Amino acid sequence: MNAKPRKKLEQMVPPGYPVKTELRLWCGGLLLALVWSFGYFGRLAKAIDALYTTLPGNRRVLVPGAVMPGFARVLDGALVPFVLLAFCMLGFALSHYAYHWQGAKSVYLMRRLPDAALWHRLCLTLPLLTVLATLAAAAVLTALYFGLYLLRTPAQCLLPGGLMQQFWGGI
Amino acid sequence: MLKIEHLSKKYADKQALADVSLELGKGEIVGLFGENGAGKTTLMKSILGLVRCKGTVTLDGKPIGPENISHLSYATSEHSFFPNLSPKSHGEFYAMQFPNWNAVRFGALMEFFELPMTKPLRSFSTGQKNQFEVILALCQGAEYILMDEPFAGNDLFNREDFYKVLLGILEPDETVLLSTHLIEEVAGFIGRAVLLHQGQIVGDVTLDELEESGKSLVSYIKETYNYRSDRVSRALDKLTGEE
Repeated sequence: MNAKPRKKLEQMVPPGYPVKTELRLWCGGLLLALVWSFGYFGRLAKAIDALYTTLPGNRRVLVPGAVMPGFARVLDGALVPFVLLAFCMLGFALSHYAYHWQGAKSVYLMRRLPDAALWHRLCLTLPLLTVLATLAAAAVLTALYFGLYLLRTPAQCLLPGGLMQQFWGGI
Repeated sequence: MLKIEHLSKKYADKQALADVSLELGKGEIVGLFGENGAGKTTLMKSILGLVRCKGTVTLDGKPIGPENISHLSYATSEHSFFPNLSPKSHGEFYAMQFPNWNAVRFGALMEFFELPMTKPLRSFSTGQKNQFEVILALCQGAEYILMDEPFAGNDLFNREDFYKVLLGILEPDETVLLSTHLIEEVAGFIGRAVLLHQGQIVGDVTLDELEESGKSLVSYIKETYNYRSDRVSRALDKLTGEE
C-alpha cells in the first residue's frame, strides 16, 4: 500500500492498531459474501427454465400463463452474508475500544485529550465506513441482479403491477 | 492552583475517598503517601476525571474539562501508552494533541535514559516502560504532573538518576504530585507530604515544618499512622511461644 493512503488509514483507527489485518478480514468477508451471492445465478436459471416446456421435436415453448416468481424470491438469501458482514464490522468497533486496555491502559491517555471526541472518532470511523461500504456493495449487487432478472425474464412472464411488484412479489 | 474540594468516591462497599480536600500551588513537589488501598490512585484518577466522584476539582477556578485538561499530565504504573507504537510515534501523537508538547525535553530525556526511539514499547523492559511513562508526563507541557507509583520495578540507580533529572529540569511553575512507597528516597526532594489513610487525609505537612520540629518524614508518617514498632516482635514471640 502507498504511504499516503496507509497514513490516512492509520489516522482513522487508534494509534498502533493493526488496521491492515482488519481490512484484510473485511475484504475476505466481502469476497466470501460475493461468492455466496453467485448462488442467485443458479436459482435464476432454474426459475426461467420452469417457464418453458419442451414439445416433441425438442421445441422449447413458454408455458401458457407461466409467471416468473418475484425477484426477491429468486434472490432468496443470496445477499444475507453482506448483512452479516456489516454486523461483524460493528464488532470491530468493540475491538477498537478493547485495544485501549491491552498491554497497557492507553484509555487513560485517550480520556484526557483536549479533543474529547477523538477517542470515539478513532474507534468508530472505520467500522462505520466499512458497514456503509458493505451495504453499498449489497445495494449495487441487488441492482445488478435485478437488472439481470428483468433482462432474462420474458416480458409476458413478469408479474403484473410494475417494478415494485416484480421486485417484491410473491413474498 | 489546583483545588480539590470534598472529593468522595465509593466502590461497591468500599469508601475509597471520604471528603478529601486539598490545594496544590504552582511549583510544589508533593509526596502522596498511604498504605495500599488508602485511596492514592483513586484520588489521582478523580482529579483527572478518569473516575466519577462527588466533589469538585478546579484549576485556577475552572472545572477540569477539554479546555484545560492539557494542563494536567499523568504517569501511572499501569502505563498509559500504546504498546504497539514507538517513542517517536508517541512524540508525534502528543505533539498533535497537546499544544505545549516539549519536543526538546523529550529528545533530551530519551537520550539521557538511552531509550530506543524507533522500537515499539512492547519490546521495552518494565523499567524502561516506567521511564518512558514518566518522560511522556514530563514532556506533555502540563503545569500539574501527577505520578502514581511511577518507579515500581526500577532499580535504585535508575530511580536516583531520575530524581536528580526531575529536580534539574522542572520549571518553577511546574507542580508534581507523586505517590510512592519509597519514602526515604523522595524525602530529599519533595517539599510537602500529604498522608492518606482509608480515603481520608490524615496528614499534610511541609518538609520545612518537619525540619523545624526535628522530625524526619519517616518518623512523622509512623507517628501519624500510629505504627506500633513492637507488633512484629510481639507476633514472633507469640508464634515461637506456641511452637
